[in-house]
Parts: sequence; structure tokens; C-alpha cells
Amino acid sequence: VPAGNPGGGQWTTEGGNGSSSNSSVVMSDATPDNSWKPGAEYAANDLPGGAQNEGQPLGPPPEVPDEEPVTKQAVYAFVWRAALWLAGTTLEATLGGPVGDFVLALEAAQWLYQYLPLIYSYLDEPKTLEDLQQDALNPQLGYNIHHIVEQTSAAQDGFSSDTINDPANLVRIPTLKHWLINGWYSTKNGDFGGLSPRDYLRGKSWDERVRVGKDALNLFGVLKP
Amino acid sequence: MKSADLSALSVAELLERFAAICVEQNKTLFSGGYAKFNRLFDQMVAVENELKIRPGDQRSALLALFDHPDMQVRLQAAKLTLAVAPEAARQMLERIKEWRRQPQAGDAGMCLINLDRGIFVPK
Repeated sequence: VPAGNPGGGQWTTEGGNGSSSNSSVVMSDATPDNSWKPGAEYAANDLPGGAQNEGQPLGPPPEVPDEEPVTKQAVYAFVWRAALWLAGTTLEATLGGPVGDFVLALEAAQWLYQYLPLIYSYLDEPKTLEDLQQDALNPQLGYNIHHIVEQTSAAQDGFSSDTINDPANLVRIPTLKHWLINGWYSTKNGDFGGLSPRDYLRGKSWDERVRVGKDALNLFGVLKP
Repeated sequence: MKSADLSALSVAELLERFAAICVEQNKTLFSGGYAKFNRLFDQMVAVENELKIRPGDQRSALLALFDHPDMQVRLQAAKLTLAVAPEAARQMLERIKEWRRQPQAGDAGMCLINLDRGIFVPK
């Protein structure tokens, strides 16, 4: 996983994720917790999670740098902004105008070539569970193999490797969505009693872990309801 | 800021601090800085507790943040007003879910599930 990438977390070296690919961009169940601090690069009204597309004009797309930013932090900050801006556009808007111009600008930036799969995969429509599981047999750039039931905490709770890595537990999902879901599992949450979902699931049954895992895939726009 | 310091703040100042903490939370969600998020979460809970012990339970003041431009501020304000203004708070969570702006939409949706399943009982 590239340095500075939120996927380059503490579990990057775990392996055993069912992949036959060597591409560092393709997959990892890594949980990010690094020093990337892109916030400083955003204008106050241009935060990735801002509410600017809530019934309001989307605003102009992020400017595509001519050259690759010096730091990976800045690279991934741009990747996020590009993906989120495109995700906020409507189908009608994709027919031309600023969206088309922005996509052309992305395609023209040679340095961005390796990152485009991350941006485009974020725009995938939700799929059925069967399709996501089938996709796991076919690793692709811009996607990760994701364990519906998190592998590390399940192993720590005594579930077998065979169970954890069973094809039924493996899905291929867009990398940026994977990072968001990992983040959700990792962070404290008021509706889990102030625990992170990962900690909440400690000691819980396999079925409860599957239920939460599928709900997360659904709610983060990966799995069809 | 220590809880003793929070007690010296007005409700308006507590809201300002709450919003600032949530804006910082949002930044960490895209940076992988989850340890920082968790520290900010604790700070947010301290502000919530300070509002809660004020006369009349001033958590309802968080309703004023439902039109904040940052989605994370709206999300956390909605969760923390469920105990005092359940209808408005639930409506806010449903709107955040419907806007499909991640990661807040996913978290709002999961909060609604946890409410319905009784995993989350606001107090």
C-alpha cells in the first residue's frame, strides 16, 4: 500500500485475504491510522464531508493539478475530492458541461492514471451480495477484497481461518468505500454505547457480525438493499 | 479543555465548541486519523455531558446545529438530541441517510437500525 495512503494501516501485512493479486492498490483489509492530515489542505467550505450538495448547487469541481502533488497526503486528498464531487453530480449532469470537462481533465493528467480506478470505482452502483462475492474472485484495480465479518477481530475471538476466509465472507468493493467502512468500524460511536463497532462486536456471535457487516455494506452504498 | 473549564462556558459557547470538535472529526474520517477521532469523540461527549447537567437539560440547544454546513456536525447533533427531541432528531438522521453523503449517511442509517433494534437507547 502506498505510503501516506489511508490503506497503509497497521494490518496491511496481514495477508490471507483471498487475493492472488500483487497490486498494492487492489486490495487490503488495512485499517488506516496514519499521519495523513489532509484537512489543512481544504478550504473551510470545501471539506469532503461538507453538506454542500444538500439541495444546493454542487459548485465547481476541484482543480486538477498539472503535476503530481509532492506528498501522498495531497494526492489522496485530491482523489477523495474528485470522487466525492463526481458522486454528488446527477445523472443529467454527466451528459455534458462541467462533469464532462472534469473527466477529460482527469484523463489528461498523466500522473493520475494509477489513481483513476479509485475515483471511478467509488461511483459504482450498489450490487447484490452474490455479485459482490463473485467479484471477489476477480481482483481489480480500484477495489479491495473485504471481509464482511472483520478478519482480525474474528480471529482474536476464536473464529477459524476457514470460516473467516470462506468465500461467503469475501466481497470485492470499491477501495474508497472500503476505507470509509474500515473507518466506521474503527471509531467510537454513540449508538454502540460509545464503543467503536469493532469493539462492540467483541464476543458477539458470527451471525451478529454478519448482520452488522451487511448493514454497513448496504448503508455505505455497496450492497443493494 | 477540562470539564471544569467547560462549566464556565455559556450554552452558546458550548455549541460553538461542539461544532468545532465535529468539524475536526470529519477531517479525520478522510485522513485515517482514527485515534484522533476517538479523542475528539471523548471531547464531544464531555460537551454533551455539560449541556445535559445544565438546568432544563440544554442538549436541546443542539437542535440549532441541524442546519450547520458540515454534515458531521448535523449527524452528531442529531444523535445527541434523540433523548430530548426524538422526533426532530430522528427526522434529521433520516434526511442525512437519504442525502447519501458518506460517511455520515452510512452512520445515520446504522443509528436508525440500532434505535429500531433497541441496541441504542438514548438517555
